[in-house]
Amino acid sequence: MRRALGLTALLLLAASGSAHCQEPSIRPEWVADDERLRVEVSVREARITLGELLVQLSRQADVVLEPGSLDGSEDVAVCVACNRTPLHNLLNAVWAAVSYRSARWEWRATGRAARARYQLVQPKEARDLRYALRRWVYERRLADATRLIEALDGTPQQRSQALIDLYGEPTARDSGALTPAQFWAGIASFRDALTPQQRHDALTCDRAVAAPLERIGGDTREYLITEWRRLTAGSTYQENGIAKQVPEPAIVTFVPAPHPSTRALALGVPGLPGLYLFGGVPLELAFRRYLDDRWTLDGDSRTSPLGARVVGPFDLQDAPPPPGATARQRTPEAERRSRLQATDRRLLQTAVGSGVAIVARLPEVEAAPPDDPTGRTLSEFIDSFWNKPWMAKWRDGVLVLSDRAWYLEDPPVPQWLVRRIRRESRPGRFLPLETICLTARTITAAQITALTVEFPELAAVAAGREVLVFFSSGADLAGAAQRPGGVRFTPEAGVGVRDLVPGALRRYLDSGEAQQMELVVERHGPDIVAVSLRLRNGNGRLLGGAGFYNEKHPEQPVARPSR
Amino acid sequence: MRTVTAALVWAIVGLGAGRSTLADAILHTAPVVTSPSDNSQFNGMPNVPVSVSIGSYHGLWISNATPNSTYNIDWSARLSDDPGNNTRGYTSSRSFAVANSMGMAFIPAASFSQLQSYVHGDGAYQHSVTATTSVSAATPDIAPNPGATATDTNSFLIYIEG
Repeated sequence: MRRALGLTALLLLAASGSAHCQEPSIRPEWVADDERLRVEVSVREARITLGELLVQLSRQADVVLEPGSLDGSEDVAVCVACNRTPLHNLLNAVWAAVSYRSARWEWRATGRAARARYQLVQPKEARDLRYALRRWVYERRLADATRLIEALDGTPQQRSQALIDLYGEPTARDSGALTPAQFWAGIASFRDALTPQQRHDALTCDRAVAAPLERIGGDTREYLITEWRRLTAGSTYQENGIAKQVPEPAIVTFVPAPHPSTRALALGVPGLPGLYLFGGVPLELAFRRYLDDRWTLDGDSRTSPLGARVVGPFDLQDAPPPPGATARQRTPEAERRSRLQATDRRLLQTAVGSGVAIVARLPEVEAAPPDDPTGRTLSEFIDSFWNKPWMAKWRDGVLVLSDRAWYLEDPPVPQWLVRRIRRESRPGRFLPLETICLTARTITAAQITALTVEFPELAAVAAGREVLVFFSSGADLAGAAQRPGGVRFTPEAGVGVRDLVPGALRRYLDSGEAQQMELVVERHGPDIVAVSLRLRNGNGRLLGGAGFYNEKHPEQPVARPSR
Repeated sequence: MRTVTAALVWAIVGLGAGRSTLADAILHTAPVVTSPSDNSQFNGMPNVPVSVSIGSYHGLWISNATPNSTYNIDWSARLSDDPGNNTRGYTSSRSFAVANSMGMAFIPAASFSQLQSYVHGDGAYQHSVTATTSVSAATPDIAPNPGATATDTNSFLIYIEG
């Protein structure tokens, strides 16, 4: 008896000292009590939602595994490949792939032992993590901008020190600048061309801001024009057969420019190479350190003896481009699908070709495929992530991977909506208008764009979303505008309804020009083809409009990504 | 009627022996009609100015390139009405970009001056912009250098009402 108690105490001590015990993952005591969690499972899915994965694992282990209720947990896309892996190890790897310090997902159990049900929940702090990470990036860019703008009026030594502090050396070559003078001209342009509010908006929202070149101070403007002349000498364009010189740029833009897992703010002067003003390599490296620290949970490991495994060839390797093929013409949806599929396949190949279990959180819209893993060890494959938006760790013998840039995308599209569209989308057919309007009202334009990989016809819905939202809003104004001749209103009333109409048309209401609105619905057969909103002045002259034009699903069925 | 379709085109750039471990630079290019800003807008004015730029994210960008290498980018764009039948404008230019230490390079869009659509009379006019982007490595030690070319077409509608 005393010996049994001693053994129990030892086990409890071991459990309490276990690296996993404080984490809301699958608890050791659940595994001890419920043999179903020890069942070996096998999965080979290049892309699957967590909701679908849990259904599949539930069947294999005869255990209830559920996503959280309306918390978005079922919508996240993952790549999962394993062969006879204990279920609890796989469930913990899934949990570790999506959890971060201070933003952990939670495995919850109800009932006990063989009657227990398990639920993977995404708490609010985990749902909000993408916004917290975006804020971190914005605040870092703001701090860098403040530092560099302060240095602009400083001595040459102070400028040099600012660059050393940021880039580790005084030339700022990583910004894309050919010389330090070019870099500082870019900083001066940002300071001079934009108002303080515009500067703040440019640094904290991923939107482009344009400004007239003439707002930039004399020396800086002269420098930019001189550089432009030097680099674009001889550029011409033709207009009706007549060759003309390309005019000097009149506008500069400050634009969000991609980096592997962050967004920089770049200066765009047409004809000049882009200049990463704020962000770029320093921000990317700092963000990686920050994210790595938050993603490393108790029980995770940076290395594993399994890292020495070599990835063998596998039948899902990318098809080589045909000989001589240097140009391709494809739709954006096909291109996005191509990159997503290359990503999914390479990750699946990594698992199957090495015999190591993998769980990877996948991007939803824009993917940067990892390198081809064939012939590399897993450690070498992970090392190739140095300039890509991927990160890796090990947990219980499972290689856990994640896209680093997932936080830049809008949340995954709710699966209930995806299932509805999947039911109603048919080759060569229009989606029902009701579903189109539901989609426009329910998700963002970026989320609709994500769906175009599988449903190309939704590209038109993304473009015409604002009109569709107004059309289906149920607002009295929208109803009145559909009557013959539309609805007339005073300039004052027009300003009052400006937020109901698409952004591109608001200027006609703000100026008081628009005094008539028509919402025109054109039907071709049973399917809606066009919905357009038109604004006219007091004399009935068309000022502007915005519209939605329905598109059919392609005649050839479009496969789901990686299916 | 057609919607504007801005295509992302990516291509593999062969960077040659000796640097082949980074041989799959990814190019993101696309011809984009920036004004009218997308298919959902139209106005009643003849001679609608059309701005053409190339690239998603406000420009063309290259990732996974050989760090600190220079790339030449040649752009051209052609505006037609009744796609392919009646060329209204053509423009071309050359720029370059230097990839940073992470192999990233960004080249601003809107390289082209405005092209005029020259449409008259009532009705809906189909236009298209076909743009071509060629990228080649300019850094001397990256050879052979086959480069990569991407071509794409955007269609858009201009609605004229007398």
